[in-house]
Amino acid sequence: MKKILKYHEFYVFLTILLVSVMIEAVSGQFYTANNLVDNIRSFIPTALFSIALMFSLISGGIDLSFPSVAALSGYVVITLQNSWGGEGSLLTGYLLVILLGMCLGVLNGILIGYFKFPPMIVTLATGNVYLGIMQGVLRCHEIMLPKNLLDFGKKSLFVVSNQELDIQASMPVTILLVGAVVLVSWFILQRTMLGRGIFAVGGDIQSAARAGFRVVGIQIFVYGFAGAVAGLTGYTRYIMNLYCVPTSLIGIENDVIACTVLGGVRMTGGVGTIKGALLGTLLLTIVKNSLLLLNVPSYWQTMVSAIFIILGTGITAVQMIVSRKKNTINRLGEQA
Amino acid sequence: MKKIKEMRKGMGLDPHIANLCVIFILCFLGLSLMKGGDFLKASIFQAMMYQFPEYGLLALGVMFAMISGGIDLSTVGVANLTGILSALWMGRYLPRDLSGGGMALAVAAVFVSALLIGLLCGALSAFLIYKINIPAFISTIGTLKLFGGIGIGITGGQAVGGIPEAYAAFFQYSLFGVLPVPVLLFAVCGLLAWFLLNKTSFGVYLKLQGSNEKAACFAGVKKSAILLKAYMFSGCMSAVSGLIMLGRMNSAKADYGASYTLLSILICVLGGVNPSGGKGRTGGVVLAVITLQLVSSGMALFRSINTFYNLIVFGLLLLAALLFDYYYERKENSNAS
Repeated sequence: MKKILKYHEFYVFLTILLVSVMIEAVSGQFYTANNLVDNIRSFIPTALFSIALMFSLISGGIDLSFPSVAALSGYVVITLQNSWGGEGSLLTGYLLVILLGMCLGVLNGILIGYFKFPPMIVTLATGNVYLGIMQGVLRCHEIMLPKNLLDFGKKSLFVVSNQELDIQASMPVTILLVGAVVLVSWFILQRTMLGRGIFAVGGDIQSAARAGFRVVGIQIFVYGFAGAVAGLTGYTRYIMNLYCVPTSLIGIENDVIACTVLGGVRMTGGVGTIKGALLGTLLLTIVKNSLLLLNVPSYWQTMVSAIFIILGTGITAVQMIVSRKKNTINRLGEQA
Repeated sequence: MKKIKEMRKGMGLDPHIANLCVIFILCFLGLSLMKGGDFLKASIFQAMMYQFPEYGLLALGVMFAMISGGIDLSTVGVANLTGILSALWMGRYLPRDLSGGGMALAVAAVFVSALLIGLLCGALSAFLIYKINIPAFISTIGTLKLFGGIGIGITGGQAVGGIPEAYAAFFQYSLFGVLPVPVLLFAVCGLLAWFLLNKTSFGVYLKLQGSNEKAACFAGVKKSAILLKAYMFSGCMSAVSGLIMLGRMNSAKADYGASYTLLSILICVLGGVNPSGGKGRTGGVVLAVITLQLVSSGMALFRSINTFYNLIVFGLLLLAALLFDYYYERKENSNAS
């Protein structure tokens, strides 16, 4: 039982409980079914993004291009499907967007894995190139979704209603998509050698190489996978919003980084769990949505997420220092 | 081909600077040929000289942060916050029609207060990095959003105006009719940066800290002092840039200059600053600023290319700079062995 206290994720979970109780006390509207469903609705795209980002963070790098990959792949595939007249199955759309996202991501992977460029600078550059392609070359603008996508976006698993305020909220079908992605990602990270390799590369590239892991291949996979998930997320987000606004995804990387880091994924690499990333996303989503509930002006949200980024990384960093000091005592057999 | 390379090495030029010179000359010639009279107008160069100091100063700040082994993404936030705070107190406490000595004193006061703001902001970033051990990237993103958030909170998202005309006039004044005040400020800051980097012990310690942190620690370099100074310098540069932006746009808003973040990193990497730390030349950064301004103004001349192409060009230039580094290192190593 005491073991649970060591885990970062436990404290995030506690914070979520604390925050939700506080908000319920102030507004009385938190633990209503429609608020919970609304929170989950905003949670879905950010959660998927944080899983995409998580892979690149665990491998010791970072992927700053994922909003551009998401926006671009989603936009391209929706334009294509519009030109096909709104027929054709949803599955082709998803497959195309995953393929496109993966190609854009693999480009990152090659530059980072083979040429060994710093991941931050590379993904910053490619992110802007993709953005420029979308806005400049393709001259993107807001477009309507074809009929089959609109229908899918409106589908819901179930509908809950709030008797007091007389409003309803529907649980989107895409939550099942999140479940699928979580399952696949968990399986890769925790049950395959590829996953062990990702953690190894994140811990120390040299050691991983000496241990026999194919570092270049692993990094290409990581960024390719991140790109694929990002593409999928962008597409899903456009569908859930029932409208394609390509510029709506620009600039969300800061929030997603905050979520992932809050969830215990280390920026330095080698550490991180899926449940951590999801819990971190949940915490930030709840806080953001609740600011609206509490009538806090929306421009304070930037500051709040900034404080959470600093707190989240700060706590992890302090934990690292404390644990390092403890280890020093053990190894030398002396008091530090 | 070999003779040219020997000539270049003989001249003792850094390969980055040599290449930047080549790019600059090519762009200049290309633009002159393609656009002729449209390009070689004095007004174009005047406009360029008003634009580049803003992000050029940010790049100088980022350069110090990068050489120390980190990065500073909060420069735009500091610049905007400085602009907002300066606009607020100028609007409230300064009389409208100042002249001569009064104006000089007022501008000096504004500068001092702005530099103080920059120092404090930079100190916060540095504190998060060396004391709480948050990686530079995350901590400066955090401070970027923090300063931006404070700026938005103070202004409610609106632009702040009401600045005495003397202020804007000061920044539009040109020495000898050719060199605008922003360029002079940039030159002064550039010289200061060069001096700090190459002629002081601080510069040496900065490069040591960036190239090998453990070795620097064992050599007696105080990480806290060096990082504090480096990020405070970056904060000051951003503050000056904020003042220049305030002078140009006659108002301050929390989200001006959003594209300058990528631009400042691009300038540093193009100018030969190693992103992992330890290496960097002021001359390279200055040359990169001017070259990018040329590219950006040049692209603006072509009406068929919309501004979003800038993103593509800058991104590709960044990747090209990295690729060039890679192949240059490979050749150096194979020449050495």
